[in-house]
Amino acid sequence: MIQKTYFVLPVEMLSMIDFNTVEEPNINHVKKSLDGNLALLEYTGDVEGFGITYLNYEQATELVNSPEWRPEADPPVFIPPSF
Amino acid sequence: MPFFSQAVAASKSVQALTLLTTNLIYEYAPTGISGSTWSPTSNGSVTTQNLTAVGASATTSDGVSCYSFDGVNDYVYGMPNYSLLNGGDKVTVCMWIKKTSIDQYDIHFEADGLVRSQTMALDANGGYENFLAYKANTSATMTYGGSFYVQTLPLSYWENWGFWVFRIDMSDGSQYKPSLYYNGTYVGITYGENNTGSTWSGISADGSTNHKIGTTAGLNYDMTGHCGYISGYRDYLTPTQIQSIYNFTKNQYGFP
Repeated sequence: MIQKTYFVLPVEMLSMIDFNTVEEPNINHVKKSLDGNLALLEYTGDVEGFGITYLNYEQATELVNSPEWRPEADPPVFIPPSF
Repeated sequence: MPFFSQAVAASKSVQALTLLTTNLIYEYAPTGISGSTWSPTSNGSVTTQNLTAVGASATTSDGVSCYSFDGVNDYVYGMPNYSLLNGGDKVTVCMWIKKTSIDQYDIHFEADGLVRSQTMALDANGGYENFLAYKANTSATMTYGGSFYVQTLPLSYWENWGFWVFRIDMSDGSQYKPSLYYNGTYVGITYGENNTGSTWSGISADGSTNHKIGTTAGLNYDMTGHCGYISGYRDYLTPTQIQSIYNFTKNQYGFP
C-alpha cells in the first residue's frame, strides 16, 4: 500500500505549492474545508513546510468526514424544473 | 511524479472491451493498469484519452486490476469530451465497484460537476440502497433533506459489502434510473416515498469540471473502495444491452 502524507494548509498558501510534487494536478482538484479557508493535499513522500499541519491516513479520514469538511449527510432532494 | 500518473502515462491504445461500441463515449478497461485507457467515441470518430487519477492507486482485488479509492480525495477524471453529454441527453454508465467500507456517501458518478448520483449509501435506518441525481443549473435546484430514489436491498447486502457489484446509472432524458446487479441478480429501481426525484432532465455540462468518478463536484463526498470496469454511453441502453455488458464482464468479478 502506498504511504501517503496529507497536509492541511491555509488556502492562501496554495499559490506556493508546486503541483508537480503532490497528487492533485492543480488548484482545481484540491479539497477544501466548507468555509473555504483550509486546503488538504496529498503527497506520497517526505515533505516539509512552514505553517502546514501533517496528517496520516487515519487523521485525514477523520478530518474530511468532520462537519467542517463534509456537508450534512441528509441527501439532496431534486426539485424538478418548471417549464 | 506520483506513482499512478506514471502508470497511466504508460497507457496503450484503445482497448474496447464490449461489443457495444455505438454511442460509446468512454470505456475503462481494467485488464491491466498499463493498458488502461478511455476510449471515447462520437459519431464514429474515435479518439483516446488516458484516465487521470488523483490519489487513486492502481491495485488488484480478487485478481482484478482496478482503481483503489481510500476515501480521502481519491478519484479519477478525464472524460475527454463532456459536450457529448448535454441536458436531456440519454446516457448510460456501467461500472463494477466494490466497497471496502460502509459510508453514507461513497460511490459517485459525476459529469461536469452538475450531476451526482449516489449508491451504496447506508441510510440512517440501515438496509437501504439510496440513489440520487440532481442537476444544479438554472432550471433545477437542489436542497438538502428528504428522500428520493430508494432501492431496498437485503440487510445482508450491507453486512457483506466487500464484493463486486455491477452498477448501472442511466437516464432516458427525462428520468434518472439507476440499478444494479446484486449477487448476480438484476435489481431495478424503486422510487422512494418522495417522488420529486422521479423526473430529471438529464446530464448537463457547463464545462467547469471534468467527469469524475469517486467524488463529487465539490470534492465533499469521497468513495472508499475499488472501481473496475467503467463504460459510458450517450444512449439509453436496453435491458438486453445492459445484460450483455454484464455478461461480458462478470466472470472476472467472480460471477460465473
